[in-house]
Order: sequence, then structure tokens, then C-alpha cells
Amino acid sequence: MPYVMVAPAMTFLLVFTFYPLANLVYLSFFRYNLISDKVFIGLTNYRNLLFVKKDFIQALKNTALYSFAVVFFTILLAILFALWLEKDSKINRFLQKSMFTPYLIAMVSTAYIWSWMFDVDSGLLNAALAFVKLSPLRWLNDSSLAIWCIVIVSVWKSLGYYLLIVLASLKSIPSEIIEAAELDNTPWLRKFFRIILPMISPQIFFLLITITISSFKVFDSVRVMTNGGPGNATDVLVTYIHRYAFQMNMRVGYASAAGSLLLGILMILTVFYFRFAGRRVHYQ
Amino acid sequence: MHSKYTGFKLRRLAVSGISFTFKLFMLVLFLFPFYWMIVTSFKTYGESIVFPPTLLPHTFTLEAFEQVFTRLNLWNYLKNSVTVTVAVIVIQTLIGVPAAYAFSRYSFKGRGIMLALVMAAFMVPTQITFITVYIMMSKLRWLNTLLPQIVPFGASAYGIFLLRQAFMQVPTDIIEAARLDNAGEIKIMTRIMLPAAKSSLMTVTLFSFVGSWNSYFWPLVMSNAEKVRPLTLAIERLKDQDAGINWPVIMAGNMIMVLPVLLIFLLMSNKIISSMGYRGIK
Amino acid sequence: MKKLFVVLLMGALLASAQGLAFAEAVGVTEPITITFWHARGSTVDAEWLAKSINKFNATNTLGITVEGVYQGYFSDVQAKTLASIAAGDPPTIAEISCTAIPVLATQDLLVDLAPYVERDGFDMDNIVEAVSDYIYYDGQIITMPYTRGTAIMYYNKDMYAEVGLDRAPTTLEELNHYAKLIYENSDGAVKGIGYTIEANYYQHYLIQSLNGMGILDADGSGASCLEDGSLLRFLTDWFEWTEEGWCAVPALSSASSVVQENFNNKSLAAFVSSSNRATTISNNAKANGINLGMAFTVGYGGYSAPIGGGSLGIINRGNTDQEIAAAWEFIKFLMTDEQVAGNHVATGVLPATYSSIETDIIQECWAENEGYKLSYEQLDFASEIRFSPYVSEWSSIVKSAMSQLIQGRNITPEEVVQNLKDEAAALF
Repeated sequence: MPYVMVAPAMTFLLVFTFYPLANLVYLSFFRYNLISDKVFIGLTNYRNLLFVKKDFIQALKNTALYSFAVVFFTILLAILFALWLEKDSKINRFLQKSMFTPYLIAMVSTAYIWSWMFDVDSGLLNAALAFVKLSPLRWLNDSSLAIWCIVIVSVWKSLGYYLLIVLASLKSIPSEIIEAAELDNTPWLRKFFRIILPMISPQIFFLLITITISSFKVFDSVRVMTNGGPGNATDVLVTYIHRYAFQMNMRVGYASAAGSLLLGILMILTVFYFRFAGRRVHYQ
Repeated sequence: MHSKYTGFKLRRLAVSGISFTFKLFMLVLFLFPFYWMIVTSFKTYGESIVFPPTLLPHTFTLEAFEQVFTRLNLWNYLKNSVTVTVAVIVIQTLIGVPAAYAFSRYSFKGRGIMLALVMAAFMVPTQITFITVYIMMSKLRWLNTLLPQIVPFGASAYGIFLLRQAFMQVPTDIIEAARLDNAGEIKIMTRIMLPAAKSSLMTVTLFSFVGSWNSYFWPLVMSNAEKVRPLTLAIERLKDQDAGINWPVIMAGNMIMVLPVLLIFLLMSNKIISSMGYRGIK
Repeated sequence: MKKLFVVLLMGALLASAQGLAFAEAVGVTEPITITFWHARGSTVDAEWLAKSINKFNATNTLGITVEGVYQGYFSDVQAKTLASIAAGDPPTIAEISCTAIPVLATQDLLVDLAPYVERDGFDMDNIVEAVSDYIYYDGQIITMPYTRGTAIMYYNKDMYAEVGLDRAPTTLEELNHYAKLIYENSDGAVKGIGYTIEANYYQHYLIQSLNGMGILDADGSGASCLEDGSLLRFLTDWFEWTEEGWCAVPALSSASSVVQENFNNKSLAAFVSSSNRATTISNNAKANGINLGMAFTVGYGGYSAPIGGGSLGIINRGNTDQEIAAAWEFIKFLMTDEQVAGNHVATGVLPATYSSIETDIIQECWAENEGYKLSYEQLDFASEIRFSPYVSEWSSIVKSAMSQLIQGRNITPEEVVQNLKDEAAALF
């Protein structure tokens, strides 16, 4: 009986998740453009990817920088805001709801709105800078600043969601423990690091993984805001793979090799987190 | 004595006053992009490129919206977005609930492995699977239909995982009692499990809705014809080849895309937030 | 005896090979609908194309209906056409850019039009020679020129006259001199000249004026511009011009639209763009009160210009004989004098046939607008990239590298050349 109940789900997962995974790695050893036949070329794609051409490494660096920045700022701000807005009051609830709204709208919409605000000639942000007598910045056109613009957009969009999760886990700390700490007159900072943080660490750890993984998959915002530019300063792994698969004469084999490397990274990240953070997590 | 007390009270008032002001400031900061989108969409093109920009439109106009409606076949895109989203939610529920139920209450051979696979699947993004699925869809000649946007998402690993958690919390005695009453599995699922997991179900549905409605990458890859493209891809059509980017028009288009979601949120915000609070606990 | 047998066998093989290559020209027997994927998205282009299609649909006696679908820029048409061929439902005809033609032709994806040309007595000599390079491949006729174009310089006559240049510049050095003056005189408010990045088009002719070849070698199998210093020289110069400020840096997205916009609001005095946009640009200039000048493009030491644009090709896979035959009828229609002349006058694309030039439509237009005649005359010294299967990819790679240098500005020209050498090693 149970087999009947899980069969549809497992079939879908096998066909649309696991088979494509295996096929991706398989294709990475070929030269293939979907029209002519596949040509087996062994590790050539990987060699070009990692050693001959430089643009994959650049995309990798960009993605890593972006991911770590997003994880760091999102979790930091989520925790700070959660602590600040913990009390149940009208303004707190309203602020929580408002901060959550960006999470619900499409990333493309967010990207368009922020692209407009980042506009160099008539954008709001440069107007704000001019208002305080600072010189305008080139934002998305500046190769060192562009990636941070995209980080800002990502943090703005998801902060509300992660805030609520941290809030929920804060609320789940048994009140006896909080009360005990309060009776002891523990200084606030100590209270945070010795009691609150360990109690919410499972959730934080879970967030760490999920945010990192979702950051490595970033595509929509980059594509709309900079399309990888200027140059390839904001080229990320997925825009790289997409471009090679669909725009550069459909080098599917090569794109698959890049995709396989992305997969490898995600797997390593997951293992790494489970190992490293596992030691620090405090379970009840 | 008296002054110290007042002094203390005053300090408390001041602190909470500052805190309140700061919160208002945060509110404005966070919501400003929305305001900006709305304001820009009612401006004329000429006014939108003025520097420094005007906080309120000097000429309030609907021409941006007019352009959106004349240049795009909005109905087509809207229809697609709705069809895909609803179909995905329905299929995911039909497939996910039984699976979650089985994983939560039954012990069968291979359960461990299958569960591990579900967890693993959760980690595999569409950005990895898209190449192969694209090839599959092109071989099936499905690329000019809505199917590639629906079928691959039939099983939601996240949904199964979350529902399983929720189902595991249902006290065994209730189920035992139902079994004693000769209740069939479907009855148990619909009468006992689902109501108990209402909050998780809401979370999962919201997650699917948001994921599907806002999906950009997947439909971009999987649609070969305008007639199957959803709203998220419609905005690109608003970029004219010979003129610069007409921001009011783009913002008007965005407003149309964002409005349904915001409206739903406004109506059900409390329910949505409280369901958020339930997740990630255990 | 054995020798005779071998000779006979060879003869038979040759005869059958000949038969294989020479497919039959079919006639259209019943009403049919065909699809045409194109890149004609601007208001002016779309309008003209709609007129053409409607006229054909209304007047052809064979019951053929053409459905035009706009797919984006040429690169989008290329990507989508290839994708649809792989998916098994390609369009019947596509407007294919010069970079895409080799990709399709070398994979045998374009129908050989020769049988149709023969059957209907289509005069191939009537086609303007300068745009006939991408028509033939391997003894076959694979495309017909449709929206071929060259790049011309559009400039603000008044602004240039103010700094002392009252005629079009004849060399790049001259252009740069006056462009710089405009920038300095306006205290940096107005930039003198702007280029967008299309490596196989705009930058190609600039490099070609240095080394006679452009970004790709004549045989299409290598890029000696990397070794002979011409690319390095050009990149260093271009970087300097943008660094000094008088040469505009292309925008990250919709670069050509931004350039036109800046020209229209008078913050840019000149820019290089496709001659295919002539009508749109002159309409906008008129609307903004700008005295528009159109001139030959200039390279190092004199005139230099590219040829590019789109041609019509019938897709070989996934289309029935009937669809192919119907597509040929549409192509024939588009190549009639009235259509070719109208195309040129309405949108600015190059006239593809000699006979169309004789028509009143074009002669009158040229009498009134020197700019249109200009693009045709420029063909005398214009050149296009050689037919090569590497064009498409190599120009993407070079474009990306140039983007890094000019827009990103976090790399040196030497590093760019070195990176391109690495890329060339992986590609060729």
C-alpha cells in the first residue's frame, strides 16, 4: 500500500530530478549542439573550463563572493531584526509584514525596480547621493560595485522571510530558560551568545545551508540587471551555463560540464556544512 | 524620589520614542522601492528621466499603462501564469500528500533510501536539471505547450518533506481509532491528516504559488512560442528596440505583475505569517 | 576489363551524386501557411514588414499565408532557430545574420535554392555584388539578401560645425580630433562619438583598417590580429579615448537604444550605427530638432566600413517540400523591385538588387536624402567578415573581452589580448 502512495512522487523525482542529473554528467564528456550527433571528447570540456578559458573561473569567483555576502548579511540582519522586533506590538507586526512583502513578488520585478533606482543618469540613488552633496556612482555599470548591487537586491527581497523564521525560532525557546537567564541578571550580550544563539542554532544552521545553496543558483536578478556585465564582472555560474547552452551556438556538452561542476560544488557545500556546523549545533 | 521616577520614565519614553521613529524609518526605507515603482508608472516618460527625480508626479498620467495594454497581449500571459500555477499546485498536492502520509506513518522496505532521495532532490536545483529536461521536452515536441512548465514540477520534495513533518505530529491514537472504525486510507488522509497539517499545507501551497507565479528562468528556457509564455516574461517585450528603456512603461508592467500577489497578501497576511511561524521548528 | 568496370562505376556514382545534390523544385499545390522568424522589431521595420506580408498574403494566387514572428535581435533569431531545429519544429524561413549563416550552412540546415532559381529564371547577376558573399556555399545558393546593411556615422551637423568641422570627417584621426573638441568645449557635457560593442561589425572595420583583415583571418581559421599587434593597438586606443571622456562608453543593456537616446537629447554628438536604422534615426532627429548628418564610417587613415545584416534562408529540416516551395514564392516576392526599393526607402536597409535602384522609388528618395544613397556608395570600400564556422563564437568571445575592457575597466588591453589568445587556443 505505501508503495502505491509514494510511487507517483518517486517516479516524478526520478524522471525529472535524478535522471537529468546523471544525464548532465554524461553529456559533459561530449561535444553536442542538439542538432548534429554527439561526439565523445572525454575531459576536453573540463580542461577548457578550468585551465584554458578564464571566464568560468571568473563566474565561479563572482558566484562565491555573491553567495557568501548574501548569507552573511541576510543572517546577520535577520537575527538583529528578529531580536529588535521580537515583542508583540502593532508596529512590530506591521514592520514584519512589510519586510516580508518583497519576498512574494517576482525576482524579475524586484530586479527591474532596483535597476531603475540604480540608474546612473536619472536614478533615485544617485539623486540621493547628489542631495547629500556626494558624487554619483556608476552602480551597475561599475565592475566592482555591480555585484554588491545585486547582493543588496537579494538581501532586500528575502530578509523578511528569513526574519520570520528566526523570529519563530526565537519564540520557540522555552520561556523557563529565558526567565532563568533574566533572574540571573545576565548581561544582555552574554544572554545572547550563551543561551539564545545556541537555542536557535539548528534553525540558523538550516538557514545557512539553504541561503548558500539558493545563492549559488542566482540567475533572474543578474540576467535582468546586468546580464553578467560589465564585461563579466557579474557573470555567475547559472548565467554562464545558460549562455553556453542556449546562446553560444548551443554548446550543450560544455555547458553540461559547467553544470556538473556547479552540482559538485553544491554537494560539497552540503557535506561541509553538515560536518562543520554539526559540531556547533546545540540540540535540546 | 519623584523626580528619579519621572526621570526613569522619561528615559524609557525617549528610548521607545527613538525606537519607534527608527522603526518608521525602516518601514519607509523598506517599502520605498514599491512606492517608487507605483509613482514612476504614473509619470510621463519625459518626467521620469528628469534629474533629480520628482517624488510625486507633476503630471499624473495613465499613458504608461495604456502602452502596456496596447503593446502586450496581457490576457495571454495572465492566462498562462494562472494555468501553470494552479496546475502545479493541484498536481503537487495530489502526489505529495499520499507520499508524505506514507513516509510518515508507514514503515516499509526502502523507506530510508527513498526518504534520502527526497531530501537529496530538494537540493537539486532546476538550474542543474534544465539542460536535460529541455532536451526531453524538445524531443516530445512539448516546447510550444504549457506542459514543460507544469509536468517537471509534479513532485515537490520540499512539500513532501514538510508535510511528512506535520503528519508525524498527529497523535497515533487518533489514527488507531480511525482504523478501528474501518476508515480507508483516503479518509484518514483527508479527514485527519490534512486538517491537522493545515498550517504546513498553507506554507507549502504558498511556496508553490510563489515559486510558480514568479518563475522566470524555467519558462524562459522552456517556452518556444509567445503563446505559452507567462507574465514574468512579458515585461521583456516592453523593451523597444529603437527607443531607450521607457521606465514608466516597465514599471506599469511590473505593477500589473505584482498586484495580484500583493492583493492576496493584504487579504491573508495574518494567516500567511502565522503559517511561517510554524515552519522550521522541529 | 576491370579498368572499364571501375570507370563505369565511378561514372555511375558521379551521376547519382549529382542527382542527390540536385533536388527537385516543387510547385505549391494547395493553400498553406508558413512561418517567418525575424529580427525586425523597431516600429518602422515592423510596420514595413507587416505591409509586405499583408500584400503578399493578399495578392499571391497560390493561397500561401505568411506568419511573421518577431524573435528579438539577430542573436536571438539565431539561438531560437537553432533551438527549434533541434526541437523539431523550426520556422519555414528565418532572417539570418551573417554570423549565423555559416553555423546553419555547415550543418546542412539551409535549403539549396538553386533548383528554384533555375526553374523560375531568377537573375542572380541582378544581386548587388557587395552583398552576395553569403549567398553561396559549397556550390549551393543558401540565402537571399534581405536586410543587409552597413554601418554609417550619424552626427549632429551643428555641433560639429561649431568646433570647425563643416563637412564629414575623412579619417578616424580627424573624427577624434573634433570629437575631443566638442567634449572640451562643453566642459564634458557632450561626448563627441560613441561606439557600441559589436565585434564582428563596428570594431571589425576599425581593426580591419589597421591590419586589412579585421578580427578574423581571411581564411576564417585563426585570428592573427592577436599576434600582429593591431588588436592591441586598437584596444589601447579605444580605452584611452573612453578614459579621456570624449568617447562614450556603451551602456550595459540596450546599448544602441541608449546611444540613440543620448544623441536625441544632445549629450552625444555622433555615433556609429547600422544603416538599417536610418529611417528611425532621422525621424527622431527631426522630432528633436537636430540637424542630422550621415557620413561614411572612418577607420585609421581613411574610409572603412563593415557589411552585415540579415538574409533570408529556408530551413532544411522539419519543413515539407510544399512549405519550402511556398517559402520560395515569398522570397521571390520580397526580391521584386517594388519590395526591395520600398524596403530601402522605408527602413534604410541596403538595396539588394541593381534593378531596384533604377526605380523611381529609390531615385526620388536619393534625390531628397543624401544619407540613404550614402550607405549604398559606402559599399565600394566596405568589407565583411569572411564566411567561417567560427565567426559566431569568436565574435561573441571578442565582444565579451571588449566589454570587460571598455565597460568593466578592471583589466588592461594586454591582459585582454592574452585572454583572447587562450580562448583562440581552445576554439580554433
